[in-house]
Amino acid sequence: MHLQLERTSPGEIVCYLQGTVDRQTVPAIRRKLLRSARETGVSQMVVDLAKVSALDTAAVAMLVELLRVLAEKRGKLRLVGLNEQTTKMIRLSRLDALFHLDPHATSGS
Amino acid sequence: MGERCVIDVVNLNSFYGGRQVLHDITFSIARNEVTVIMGVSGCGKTTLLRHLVGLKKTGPGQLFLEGEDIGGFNVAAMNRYRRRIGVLFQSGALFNSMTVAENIAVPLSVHSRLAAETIRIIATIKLHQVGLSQFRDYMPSQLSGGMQKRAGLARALAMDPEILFVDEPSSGLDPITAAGLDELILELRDTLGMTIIVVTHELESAFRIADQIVMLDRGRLLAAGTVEQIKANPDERVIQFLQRQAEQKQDDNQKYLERLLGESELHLQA
Repeated sequence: MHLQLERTSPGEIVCYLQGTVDRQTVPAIRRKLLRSARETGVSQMVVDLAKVSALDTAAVAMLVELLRVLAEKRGKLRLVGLNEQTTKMIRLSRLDALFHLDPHATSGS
Repeated sequence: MGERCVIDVVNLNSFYGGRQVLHDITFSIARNEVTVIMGVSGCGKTTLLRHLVGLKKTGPGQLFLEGEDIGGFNVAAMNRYRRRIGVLFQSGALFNSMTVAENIAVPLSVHSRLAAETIRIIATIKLHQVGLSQFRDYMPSQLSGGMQKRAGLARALAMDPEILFVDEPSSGLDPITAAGLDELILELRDTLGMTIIVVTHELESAFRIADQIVMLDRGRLLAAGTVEQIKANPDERVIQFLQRQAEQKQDDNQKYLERLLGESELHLQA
């Protein structure tokens, strides 16, 4: 599994993704992420992409879905630790505004 | 066959019945680059494309994928190859009984275990990349030819293919939309490291996007090289093509007059 979840406060979960996140790995990651997002009391999720080597459009679509689930309960999604490839991929999907890209942010900041 | 090359074409000959349409074509397609195949109508561009995507059978020893002989591929190997490539055909080739978004979803539904909602979002992303997200629920018949072509490109991109083949992307498009597609092709190369093969006769577009141009003439390889190398090529036919001298049109016109008047009549007129 390329995903590790950490509850940093009652309302916040940090998700550490690793390696290649693509249409092969997305189905399993998606199930865990959405389950966490739907947990009672969770209002913010931080997805740390620092150890992601590559992501494809399926991974971007999964993040859109996660954002929507959180938005439905007035929660937030923050992406941190983006590298050049992940930033480009999100820009290619024309979603940089949606994710308020901040390539220099880390999960600790 | 260097490591940089994804596909090597080696002395490729092709026939329709007894008629030879490609003669000893040899060139290589480099990884993460845009290769443009050019030439006037009927020069063999589309036939070459059909060989490259596996739609026309290739004999052994003439076409190689990363050093492996595509001509020797069995059905399973050919299917594996097809999963790595995306193809935009000249017509767009959409399924008329499905909406535009459903068309984009087809390869993902067939070849992945992604959830329906993930696939729906991917389809919207791909349609937005080609400027058609507002038409996702339209039927293909409700779109113009140019829009169908763009929808076809969105479907070709659905699987984020390693290798993308595009047949005449600019035909039927206005200049602004055509330039936008050129930008997208370059972005796909730079962002995803995609290897892209474009068949076109549009010089302006070719010069904008090509890392390498392969020029065909009457089924034969006329020239291959970078844009600068092609522009500096001293071959008379290359120069004619670049200067858009209408030799082909003159040939066509001569044959047209012959058909209208008969050969003897034509001599009388001379």
